[in-house]
Amino acid sequence: MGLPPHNRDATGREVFAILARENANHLLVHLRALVRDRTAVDDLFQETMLIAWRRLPEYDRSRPFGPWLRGIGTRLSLEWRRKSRRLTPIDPAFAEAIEVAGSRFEQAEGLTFDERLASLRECLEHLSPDQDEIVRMVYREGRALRDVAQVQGLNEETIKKRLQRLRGALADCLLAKGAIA
Amino acid sequence: MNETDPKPSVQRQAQEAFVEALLEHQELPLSIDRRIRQVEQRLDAEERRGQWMRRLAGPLSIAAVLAVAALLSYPTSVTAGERVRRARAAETAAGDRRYSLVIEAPVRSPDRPPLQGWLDVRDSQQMLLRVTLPDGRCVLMGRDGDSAWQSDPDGVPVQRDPNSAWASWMELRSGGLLIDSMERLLSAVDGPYRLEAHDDAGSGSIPGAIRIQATRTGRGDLLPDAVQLWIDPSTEAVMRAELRWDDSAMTDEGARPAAPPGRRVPPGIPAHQPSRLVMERTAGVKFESDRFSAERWFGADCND
Repeated sequence: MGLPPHNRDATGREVFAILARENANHLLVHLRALVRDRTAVDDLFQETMLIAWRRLPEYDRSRPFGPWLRGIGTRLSLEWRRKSRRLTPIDPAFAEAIEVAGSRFEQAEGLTFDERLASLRECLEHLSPDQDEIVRMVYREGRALRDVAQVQGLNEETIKKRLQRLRGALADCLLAKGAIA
Repeated sequence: MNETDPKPSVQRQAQEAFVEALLEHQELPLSIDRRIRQVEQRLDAEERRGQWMRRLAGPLSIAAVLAVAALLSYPTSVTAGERVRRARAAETAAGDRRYSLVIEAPVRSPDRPPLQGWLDVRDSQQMLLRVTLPDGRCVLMGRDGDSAWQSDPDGVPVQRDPNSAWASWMELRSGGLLIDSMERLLSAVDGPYRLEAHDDAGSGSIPGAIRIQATRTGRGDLLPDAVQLWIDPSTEAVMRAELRWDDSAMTDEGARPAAPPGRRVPPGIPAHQPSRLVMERTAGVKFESDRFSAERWFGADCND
């Protein structure tokens, strides 16, 4: 995709909308990795896009758009968590590591975000049937851990630990494929 | 993951968090379209209402800073003048200060509710103005030492557009804006006032304070017609200031004359002087190092 014009005119809006669409999926993943709250992710996504549009004249066109956009999202996420009374602030080093992990994913083969997910799908195929079942219930069906534990006949803590190991295994698989860093 | 390590590294935590976010990500192209459309709708709405809101920050902040500066610069008149000069010296060395603000509507717009806000000042190059509008939205304007910025209608800080217009009464006949530097501001307001010290504390009474009444003796296109200062004699600090503009010198258009050539105040901009601006100092503030930076105010609440 070409670089966005610095003028915030009608043409600039069209180009911005295209760039926003291209980077929307990765931005959402980035925000979800930083901020677990789904409602907050929705709000932060909107705010990130709005600020990106307003600050378009400051964008360095010699650099890629995605990291710049996510940088705005990161700052907003840090601020959101800083203001939360019940959540601990996000470690900026963690936020930076999220960007590093995702930057490799952004460079993965595939024109679309869905095509870049091929590596993850391949890694999922290596999960055991039990792990695959947990992925299905937790991430595709959005069921609560308590429900999953009941179905599996296990306690909630065990499910949490299995999920953690499962994510670790997937991270290792994606690292081995060079899909994340 | 190394199972003997009870706390994974930040990098490892980030990798797993990213994987989890990928697993949770179930956006369809249509839902992405919906999100983008929502952004575009907000941009459209913002553009419709944005212009006057962006510029509102200018006049209000100028008025507020004018108030601070006006405290520092009244000349002659023996007792009162000396008191003001001491206050000026004290203010110059004061460091972090906060003033609450009440900005009342122009005389000719009595139905507008007063605006409330705060002015945080470290020095002439570091300041932050926050004003809450009647609909609850917040206008921010700041100087961080390097650059000036202000909030857009959603409260998000953006660099100030150097070409945006200002209300005529904010601009100096000599050119430039009052806010450009404290020196220019002081020079602009220096002179045309008669000062009197009063033992009584007047209507805005502050216990123990000395009240200075400043009445304008000449005509100008930007200065308030009357100023009252309440000065703490033990610290020389100005605890409260009240600036008043009357209606007598206004033109039929409302604003005072002498708008600089080529400048245009857009329709809807409050080009009139406020009828009254009250500043009251808050004791014992110490601001964090990033208080005046635009970055600090991304997504922040006006009341932070």
